[in-house]
Amino acid sequence: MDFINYFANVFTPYHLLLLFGGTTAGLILGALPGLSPTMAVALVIPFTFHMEPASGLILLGAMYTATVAGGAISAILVNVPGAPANIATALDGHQMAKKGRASEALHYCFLSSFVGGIFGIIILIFFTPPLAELALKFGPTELFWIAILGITVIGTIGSKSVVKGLMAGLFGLAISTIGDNPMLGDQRFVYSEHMESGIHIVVALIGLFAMPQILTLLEECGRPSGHLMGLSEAKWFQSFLYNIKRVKALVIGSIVGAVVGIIPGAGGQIAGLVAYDQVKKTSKNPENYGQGEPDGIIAAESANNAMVGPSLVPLLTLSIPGSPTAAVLLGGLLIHGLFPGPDLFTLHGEVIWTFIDSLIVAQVFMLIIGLFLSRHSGWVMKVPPHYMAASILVLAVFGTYSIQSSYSDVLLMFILGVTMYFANKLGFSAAPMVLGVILGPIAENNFLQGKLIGEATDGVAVYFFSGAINITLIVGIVASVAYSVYANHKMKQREARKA
Amino acid sequence: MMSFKNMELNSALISLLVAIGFSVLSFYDTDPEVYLFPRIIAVAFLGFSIVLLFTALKSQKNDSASSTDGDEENCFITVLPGLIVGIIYLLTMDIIGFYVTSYCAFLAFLIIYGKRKATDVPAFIKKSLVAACFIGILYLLFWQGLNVRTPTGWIF
Repeated sequence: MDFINYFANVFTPYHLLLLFGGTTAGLILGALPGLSPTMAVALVIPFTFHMEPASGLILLGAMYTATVAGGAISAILVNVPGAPANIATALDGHQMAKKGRASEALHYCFLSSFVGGIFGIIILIFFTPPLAELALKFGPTELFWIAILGITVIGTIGSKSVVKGLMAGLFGLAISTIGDNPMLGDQRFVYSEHMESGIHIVVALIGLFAMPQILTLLEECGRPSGHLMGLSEAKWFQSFLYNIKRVKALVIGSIVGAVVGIIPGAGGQIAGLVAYDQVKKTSKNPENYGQGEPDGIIAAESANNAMVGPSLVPLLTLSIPGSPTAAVLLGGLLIHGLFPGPDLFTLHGEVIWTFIDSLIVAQVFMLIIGLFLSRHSGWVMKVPPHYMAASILVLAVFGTYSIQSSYSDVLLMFILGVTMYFANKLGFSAAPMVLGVILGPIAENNFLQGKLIGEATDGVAVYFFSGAINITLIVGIVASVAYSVYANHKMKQREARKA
Repeated sequence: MMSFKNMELNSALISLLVAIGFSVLSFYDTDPEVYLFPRIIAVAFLGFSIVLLFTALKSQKNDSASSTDGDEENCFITVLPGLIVGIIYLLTMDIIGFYVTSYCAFLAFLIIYGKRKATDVPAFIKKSLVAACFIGILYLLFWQGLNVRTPTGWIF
């Protein structure tokens, strides 16, 4: 059992410090409305560049775990979800805060996040090795289709417009071709010295996620902010005893979170809402939901954190992220030379299992620090948006520069970021674009290899469109597009009926 | 100036322009082997942008124009000073020095978007101190901790 063999690696002083720092920073950043978990993790990546792979991944994993849970703080205190994943938490959490039970609501959040998170990591530990074995059967064409599937799923599921999601993914693929042709070495689209090295993954991550966030925060300046609820006295042990008795809510939340997490591209926002919906439907008193029902918070938050571990299953084995934040983590893996697939667990087994084990410890830190913040988090809500915008701007610039000590990277980051801000206004989202940049080189390399092999054998078309795995992946691509078109069509019909 | 009305049509037209531009760059006077993958992307991008345009034109016939004009224009006006500060920051960081320009950009954000006027001396001092502290932490983290040597330019 590899995950036991490397557990001791997590308990070095340095790694424990990273876990503590990453969890605290993640909870605080997650609690700040307007800062998404994806952006927070993207900003930290340049720092991990200078670390050992295991240490860097531990920090990123702690941030990922904590930002998802931290978003509940602002959801409950200000009725503004810290992340889309916390929308369902706000429905009952803020109502509890209005009744003077804010601290109790926060206790339920962190306790149920812990339970869901541990469940999710168990899924990760037991599902990843068999799926990694399956990935051994993947050749160039399978890897090409996997890359396309990843971009398609992220671009279609959860996107308001299927076409715009796919176009964003294509734009990301296009950006990834700037620089040298991977096989022939000739330069492409290099019209300035600043573009000679192409666009680094981390430059794209920070540009596409952090920069638009800065401008969005500036938009909020001058707007009235939500009313901040005070934190009440509540004993965490009493909350714990109540929480563990809510077995149905915990089980529904954990299972929904795990299932949604393992589905590529679905993401935490769906997990929380689906779990909330299910626990409400199965409740004897559904009319209590939306009025301050603790089970609503317990189900939503256990689902959010249960999603974290399983979202890494397709990521670590097939390079398909289970959520936008997992897509950023993929960038973090690649910059350390860790390529998803079966080799990850053979060549870099110690690194990956140390990382997975650290997620368990991160859950414990999240619980302890989260319960502490339940009593002392009011100040976090008072940080003005322009302070956050200024901080993120400077941090983004320094972080980007530190990757390759290149001013060109900063320039490209800024241009990408401003472009993405306006693209957001036009309905395009960053996640498929980022995935296009990350998976573009993988897609192109394998496409060119597959083309060479196909030309030497039965023909390119036959090579790309035959074989059980290829056909399954192509069906998956078509199915995700078809499902999203159908879902969008139904949603438009519902909206038309309401109007 | 782009009208903020009919956002769907605007996004479709802009997408089509980008697609055409990328297609021209991929196909015109380029080596087919070197540019094979970008050409495939360009064709797909062009196809989707045409679909988007048809969808936008169709929805324009069915729906009334979007009524978010005022909101979007106000957002852009709010963000514009920050954008200008960012551009000046970007253009001068290499010349004057990363740390000094970062401090100035940080302070500019706090002054422009703060509730207190720039002439409020105690508020200005507080903001200056916050900016200095933040840049100081970055100096310790990047210059001392990570050994990242940013361009010092004329000053630092």
